[in-house]
Amino acid sequence: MINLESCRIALKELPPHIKNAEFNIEKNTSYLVKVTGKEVAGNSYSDITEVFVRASGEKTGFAYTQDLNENPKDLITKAYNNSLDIEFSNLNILNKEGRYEVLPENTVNLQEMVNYARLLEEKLLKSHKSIESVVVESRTDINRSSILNSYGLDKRYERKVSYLSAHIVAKYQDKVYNLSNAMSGRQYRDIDMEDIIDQVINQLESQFNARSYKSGVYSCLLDKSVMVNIMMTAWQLFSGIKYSDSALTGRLNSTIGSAAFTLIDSPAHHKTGYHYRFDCEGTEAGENILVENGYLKGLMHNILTAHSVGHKPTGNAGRYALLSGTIPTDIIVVPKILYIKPGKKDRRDLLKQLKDGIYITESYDVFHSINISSGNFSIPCRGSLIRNGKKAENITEMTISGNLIDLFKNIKEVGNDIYIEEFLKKSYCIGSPSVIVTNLNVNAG
Amino acid sequence: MINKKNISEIIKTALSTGGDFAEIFLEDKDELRINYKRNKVTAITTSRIKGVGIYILLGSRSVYLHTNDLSQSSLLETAKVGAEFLANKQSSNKLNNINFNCSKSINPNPIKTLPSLIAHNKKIDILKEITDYSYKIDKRVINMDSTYFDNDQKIAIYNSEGLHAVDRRINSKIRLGATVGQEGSYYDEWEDFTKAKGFEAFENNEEYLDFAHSFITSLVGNIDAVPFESCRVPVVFEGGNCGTFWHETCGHQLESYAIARNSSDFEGLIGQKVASDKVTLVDDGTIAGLYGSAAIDDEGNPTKRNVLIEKGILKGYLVDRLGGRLLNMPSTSSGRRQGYTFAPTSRMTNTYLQAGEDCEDEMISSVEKGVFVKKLGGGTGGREFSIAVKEGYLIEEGRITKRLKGLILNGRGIELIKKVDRVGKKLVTEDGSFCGASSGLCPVTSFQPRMRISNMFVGGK
Repeated sequence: MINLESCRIALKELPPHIKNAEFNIEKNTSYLVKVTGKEVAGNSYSDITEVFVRASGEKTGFAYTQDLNENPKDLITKAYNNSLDIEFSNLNILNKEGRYEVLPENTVNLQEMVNYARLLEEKLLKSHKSIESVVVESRTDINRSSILNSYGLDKRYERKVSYLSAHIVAKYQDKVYNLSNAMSGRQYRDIDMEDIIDQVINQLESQFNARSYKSGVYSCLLDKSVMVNIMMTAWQLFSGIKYSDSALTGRLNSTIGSAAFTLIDSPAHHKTGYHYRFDCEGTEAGENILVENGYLKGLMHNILTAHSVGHKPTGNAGRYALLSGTIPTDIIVVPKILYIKPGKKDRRDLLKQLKDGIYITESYDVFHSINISSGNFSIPCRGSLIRNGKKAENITEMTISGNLIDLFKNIKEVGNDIYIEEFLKKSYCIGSPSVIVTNLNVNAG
Repeated sequence: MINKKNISEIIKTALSTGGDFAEIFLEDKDELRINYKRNKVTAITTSRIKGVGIYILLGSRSVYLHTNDLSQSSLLETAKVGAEFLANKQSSNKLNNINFNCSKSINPNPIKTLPSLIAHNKKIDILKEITDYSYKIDKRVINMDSTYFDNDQKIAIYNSEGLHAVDRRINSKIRLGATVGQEGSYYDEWEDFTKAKGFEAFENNEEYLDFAHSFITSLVGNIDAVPFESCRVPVVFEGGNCGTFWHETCGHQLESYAIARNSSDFEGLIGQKVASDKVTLVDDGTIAGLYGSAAIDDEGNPTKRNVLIEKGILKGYLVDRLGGRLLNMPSTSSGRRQGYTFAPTSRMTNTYLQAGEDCEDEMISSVEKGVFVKKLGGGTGGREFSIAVKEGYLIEEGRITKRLKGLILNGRGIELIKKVDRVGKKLVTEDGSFCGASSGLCPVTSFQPRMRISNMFVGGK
């Protein structure tokens, strides 16, 4: 039976041929309430404990289980046996000390979840006359992370995230439109519903009566959701694992963006409920300025990638980075809360500064339309034509294309409207305000 | 071990506050992954996924719960949480013990060699062979990252109507990742050689080496490809993998999940003309040898063939149990999920455009200026879709000429499928991949004969 105590005993009683071993136990409990028409339309509840094991003799092997009846000693043996055919000596450096335990009393109030969902639904229905129906999901996640290894590292931390998402159906001039928006906070009261509503209305109104437009090179305002969408894939440029095969190769300690571009990876931010204390190797999660005023200062590292370049690990060891049908057990590099540092201007000021150009309000499927090796992108999108600082008409069937490094260099202004989104696998968050970019290729039919 | 008596108790607890249907989904799955990077085995991982999902319905209201604590007390407690979610309905059910009748459905993908019976070193040999071969295909291959996967998923489904159904799905896969390039121009991509088979998937090495050859030559082709000015042109889609077009333009919108949420342009159009006469679109989970096939769907119903569009007329949707309740339609055996951590919902299986009667060569030779799409990448569906083109060419004066780069397709599916003006005679299948949606990642195939859209927007430079 797997529990913390049986794992501790297994680590103390390692057989002599196993040099070290580590358990990472992730217990995730999640409650979800779905509300529409003021009624609860559905609920879900999840309680999953995942156990990741690595064990090393001369090499390192991995094992993973959700079968809580397995014996921790057998799991270590399974991981060790998987190491026997490994041909790459990966050192398997483990953190050697550290104890931490903060387990706050995280409770779930289902009625509160229903109340907030109803409130958001009501506000959205009142916010725009074209909105016909709204489904709101409120979700509370409690994640308890435990890392313990044969060197005595023994850390535990618990995080609670409250999350509201809204799915809207709107009808305007006989055409039906769908859109969604979501936000998280440590508590439901921390979530700014007005931000959700503002974003919904902005995107909705940008869809009405859209037509195609002509190709050209334009100054554009990229909405915060578009920048988040881009950075949801582009963050890999700043990973210690991808760096050597990416468009940023060889550019560490050089200028890769404009003075307006500062990129930070942080363990906490007031615009999201996510917060991190240590990564999946037990390394403390600190703030890391990756790009400061355009200058690439550092990368995100786990223990191994940091060791390979003589740097310190940055608390970015993780596992869930891409959608995959299999359980990702390898320890890779993932962000915590990676965001572009906001500036001072709101959307209206940004549009005024743009004066004439295109406001890109939505982008699609960036995962398939950015190449990290070359940095090239070609992203389907839609938006509004801006004339004299105001929305003139809506345009669609476009792509924006170019290279990510050029995009970073052409950032002229950064707004104050930061938006932070969780990655689908709930392992990290990406944030950005809206930004003005010059010389952007907009391709249309 | 969870026996039928215990399952009956769990279902009774789940229904104790008025639910009218409950289902227990048990999953036990083993996965193996071997990573081979820079000519060395870098990681071997075994994974065990084991847990239970409890699904409760009351009219159109649903509750889904899942846990991997399989003690009977924990499962009863979880069922109780579900019952309490419905408790405001002030009613209760007194159920007797349920007599489960085990239905036997034959999986269309029989397995010859269980992957778990094969030693790691034989699997590593295959990785080494395909990687070495890939490097030799073109000197511009800079880096290869190859991964071997096999998985063996056993599921059992019990429900309050007495259904007991089981299935075992085994598949094997090699994922090739490659970086190619020269003089500062680099491209990386990955692609899967996927088979709904056991280790016999690799008994003929010509098959997986051909796959590697096709993958590498296609990727290297990007280096000398030319950009394309966005415009509206006729587009010819090659037979096989270009069936992704149907998956993204209308497949997702024909799922009852989308219809019930009012997020589909096909809502309320059954019996009406929605596509050109040349379009007959089918979803069929019974086809032997295909990645999207299974004995049963993930609600225990034997898989079946569903005609979605016939000669341009919308015939039906893909319907799961809850979608059926919301739309007042019977299930089409389309309730699917990645595993026990997801509630089932309507999903595609093997979706294809039925063969037509047009000449494959003529649909290119009659185009003065257009685009030939040989291979599609991933994409997203909805009222508006977007799909990346992995391999595309310019058609000039009826001939395929230059390789193009950076192509992306997007538009409104229901408008485009009216513009299908040619459908070829030869239906070509594909290996398949996974599709990600609200019930997780499900194995699917999407295929077609060569087909042409008379005019559409192609995004490029």
